Amino acid sequence: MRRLVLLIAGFVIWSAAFLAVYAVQATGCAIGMEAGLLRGLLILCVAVGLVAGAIPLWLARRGGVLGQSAAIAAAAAMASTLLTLSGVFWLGPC
Amino acid sequence: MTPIRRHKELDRIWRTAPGWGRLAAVNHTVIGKRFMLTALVFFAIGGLLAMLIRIQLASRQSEFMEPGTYAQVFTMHGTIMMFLFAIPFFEGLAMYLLPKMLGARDMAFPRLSAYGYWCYLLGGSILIVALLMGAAPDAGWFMYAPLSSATYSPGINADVWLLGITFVEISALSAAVEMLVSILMLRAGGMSLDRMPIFGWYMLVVAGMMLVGFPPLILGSLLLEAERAFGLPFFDPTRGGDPLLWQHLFWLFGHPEVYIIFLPAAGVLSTIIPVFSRHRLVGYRAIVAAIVAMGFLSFGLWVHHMYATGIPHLSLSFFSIASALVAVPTAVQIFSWLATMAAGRPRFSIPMLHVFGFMFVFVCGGLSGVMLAMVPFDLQAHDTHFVVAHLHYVLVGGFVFPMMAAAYYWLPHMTGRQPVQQLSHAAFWTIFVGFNLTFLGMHLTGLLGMTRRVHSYDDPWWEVLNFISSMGGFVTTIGFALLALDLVLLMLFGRPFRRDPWRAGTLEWAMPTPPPSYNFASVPMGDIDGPSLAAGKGLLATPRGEMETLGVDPLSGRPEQIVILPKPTFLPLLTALATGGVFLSLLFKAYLLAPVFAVAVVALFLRWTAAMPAPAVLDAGQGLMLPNHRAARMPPSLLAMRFIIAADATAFASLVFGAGFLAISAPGWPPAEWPGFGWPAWVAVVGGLVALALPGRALVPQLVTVAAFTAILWRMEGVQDHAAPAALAALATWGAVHAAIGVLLAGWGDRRISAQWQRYAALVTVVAATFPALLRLLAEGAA
Amino acid sequence: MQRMTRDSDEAVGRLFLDLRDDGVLFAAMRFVGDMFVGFLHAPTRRLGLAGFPILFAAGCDRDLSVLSPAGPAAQGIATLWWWMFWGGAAIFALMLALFLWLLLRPAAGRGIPARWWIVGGGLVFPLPVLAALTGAALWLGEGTLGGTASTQIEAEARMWQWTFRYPDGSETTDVLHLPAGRDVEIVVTSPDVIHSFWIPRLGGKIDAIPGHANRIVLRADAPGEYGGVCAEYCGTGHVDMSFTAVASDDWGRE
Repeated sequence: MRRLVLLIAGFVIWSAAFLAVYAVQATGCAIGMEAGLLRGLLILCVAVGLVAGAIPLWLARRGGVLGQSAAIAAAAAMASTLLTLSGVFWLGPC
Repeated sequence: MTPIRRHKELDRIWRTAPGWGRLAAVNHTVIGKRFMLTALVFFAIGGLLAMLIRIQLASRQSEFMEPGTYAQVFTMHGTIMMFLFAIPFFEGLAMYLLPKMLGARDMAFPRLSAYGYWCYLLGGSILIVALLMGAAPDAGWFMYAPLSSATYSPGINADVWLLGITFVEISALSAAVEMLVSILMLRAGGMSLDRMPIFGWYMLVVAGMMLVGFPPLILGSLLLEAERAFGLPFFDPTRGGDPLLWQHLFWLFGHPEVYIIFLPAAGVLSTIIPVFSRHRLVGYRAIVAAIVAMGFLSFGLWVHHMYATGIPHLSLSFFSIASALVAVPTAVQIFSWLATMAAGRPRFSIPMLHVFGFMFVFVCGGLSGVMLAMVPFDLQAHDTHFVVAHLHYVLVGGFVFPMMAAAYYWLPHMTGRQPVQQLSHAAFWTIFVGFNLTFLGMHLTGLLGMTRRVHSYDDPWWEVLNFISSMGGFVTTIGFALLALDLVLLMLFGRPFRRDPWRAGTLEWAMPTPPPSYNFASVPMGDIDGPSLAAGKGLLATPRGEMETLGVDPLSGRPEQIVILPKPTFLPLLTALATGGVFLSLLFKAYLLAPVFAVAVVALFLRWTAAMPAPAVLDAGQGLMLPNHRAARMPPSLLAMRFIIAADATAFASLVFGAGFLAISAPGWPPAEWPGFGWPAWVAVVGGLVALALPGRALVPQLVTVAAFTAILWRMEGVQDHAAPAALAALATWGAVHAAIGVLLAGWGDRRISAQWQRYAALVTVVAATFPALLRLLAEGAA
Repeated sequence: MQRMTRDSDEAVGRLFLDLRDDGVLFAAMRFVGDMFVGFLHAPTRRLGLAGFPILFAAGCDRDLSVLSPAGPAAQGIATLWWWMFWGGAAIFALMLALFLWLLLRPAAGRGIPARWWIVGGGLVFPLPVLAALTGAALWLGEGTLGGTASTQIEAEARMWQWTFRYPDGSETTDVLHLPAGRDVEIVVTSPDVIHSFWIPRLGGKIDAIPGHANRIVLRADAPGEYGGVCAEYCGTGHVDMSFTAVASDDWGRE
């Protein structure tokens, strides 16, 4: 079962990062957080998501058909984290 | 033992009795076909409603329908096609195919299949009866509050939707759990996951998506029904609710839903295209990764239905980029299919014609989908006929055409007869031309400003386009009638064949067609062909009077246990009838009757576990001694419990999210008087912690927890005045119900299954009891 | 699971067709080919075909048409749309051509390795296209969404009419008076159910959600009348909930 978990681990981390960024941004805007601080927090969330996303990629590097699928999925998940949340770097926070 | 004698003995064990015995059917072939046939009946009803819509819109200022009737018609068209056709149809197809493809004799929980079917049939019938009585839901298929609330929809119409659809969703959730367990555990010996037919992978991911996709909708429906029936104001902005909460919960389900519908169809294409290309599927690994990516990304799109609701642009950007990005795994799959065709020598046959229909229509819909993912463009196109055209291109291209390919491909399997050929081409081209005639111009209708759901209009240009669409709609209907005729002709006059007419390599073609009740005379082990299976050279070749199939290690496919399945029984039907009683008494506001039926449901479910085989070790053949599932380390039911908990946890997380969302976003927070749980909350936490520590002896602590939550609910005031106490009451109810289920399982359930639930319920208790403090912090921070 | 049953059946051959058996497909292809050739050779037919775009353009110029923008927000979106339309059409033609090429010319693509198909078609091709498109759309959105303007008009949507309140305290029903050539911020609210404020020729829509006040900045480049509607289904009177936006140069001096 561990290898099956590894297959989805990357995207589970993507989901967590996605929800965290969305929640922090909504909450930050609602409580009137200062824009620079909010942007910093959001970038931090993305960075944590990327670092965490590298773990399944590293664990999946050993072969087997399922391992290769897991590696592709983990790499895709990391790219997705960076791409989907790239707005935090350049768009207005609220 | 001769093959004939083996067939007779196995059939005696597995077959469904004739006459009234049909109501006791649990066999996956029977239930799968029933699902598909029922879904087709609903498809016909939904199609009829579409024709009514097209008649209404064919000319300006049409007097054909009143606005109120028209609202019921378009609401029911969407509802039927989504909930009563698309999902049940692929559930039926998967139920029919999966065990046959994976080398099993049935699904893991045959009675659950039957129960799901009856829930679907009864729930769907409630909706159709309401339509015939003129009391059908009329607020649009996504039922936006507050239009669907008691103030603006005072009749029974909205209740029919909320309760009927929730009733039907039971079948979706039960199918999800069942597919997950069946795919992971009930396969041929030696079929490791990475050698599993690709359709199994698709359905594995789809089932996982259904498991977390449906709970938010079910929760949302329960909350809205609670608002309508008991005045708990979750969505009423004048009392601390927020209409946007409904949109979040609905689309959190609603967007993944589109992919839940598309992926099984993609699985069909990944199965069919290699067969007709005479080459194995190219890019298996990439496709598995792409399916997983799609499954997840599709959950990051839900706000793209809400671009115009005033959410900050940065938030929209996440969803916009995710919506564009989901095109990448789609492209990976399409190019894998093209690569398969390039590597092989494509042959042409009717299913391939429908694959062409898919390519044409779905690519077009996918491209307009990318357009709609762009925030500024969507703000113009949203809620216009452009969106209507887009969604039909995606759903008809991404589901109906592949399913027609599947029908031509697998009907020979179900009937043992080959296509007749003559009418098939005419039917395809009529549908194809009619469909494009209906919906291609509709993009322009939308860009010219025609919003959806209007029953009349003035613009002469819209009339030209709408008239073309209406004519196209009628042509499409004629095409579907031709298709139906063609399939009936196939069943009546098709030429019989012996085995594997398409020269496919998957296991479902290794059995006689039409398939026998037991699928495989012996369960496949390693590489083995059809005649050898019939000759009993696989596992479990000697009938022992029980319905036996092989349970394997999920990853490696190593045989691990013999799963003994339950015989046909009326229990699923009776339980579904009792469940229907609960929903009907809620629908007709007979609130005293509902608990009576609920008790009946619980009592009937307890009866399900009555006749279990004793733990034993049995001979599986080929010198293999295996425990039966009662003696196994990981029986299917234990794995199923984990998935049930995952689904339940998603619903609970949605509830917690909903309360937090209200605290931040809804007007009128924090409430004037802050409601608290008071001292019973501490009692509940203690009960929960004890149950967590001693899950084997949880009866007493869970009883204490139930009592504590009951006390909290008893002391709760003002639940109808503000959404804050209403949300807390919902949390306390959630905790009480879970602890009560814990009491039931501790008293009557299997020890290991009970322990899993006790731990989970204890965590729910702790979160539910402590969350109010966090909610208060959040609300006061936002204010 | 590669398992093979190979008990052959003589009837099997009948299931597979030569593609030419499908008369309709070939007739359709020949028709497209004839159209193209005829277009090149016959001037009269060319006129007939040329008539279609004119007809199309006439159709676009409607009161509620997204394709007939009259303000900067709508103009940007219309430009985006035409880019997407032509790009989408090209990609659609490419995909269909690939599919038919592989189907009609078996073994045509045999020389291209599988990896190229999947990596090229699945990643290398879509990713830059999507990145460029999404980047442009976000840049456009960042410029039009979430802005403010010094002139504010309140729009209250209720079942089933629009009430507009102006800075000077006056009110109109179902007619919105705007200054021409100047940004206005419309603050959209609703006391009952969800509606949506939409003037297609000026810009995108914004929902009127009870309990929330949503804002949109619009500008009409020139004086004139522009149609507006409620875009979100709001009950049986939904279709009647339209209004007219009147842009004038002497707004506020009347």
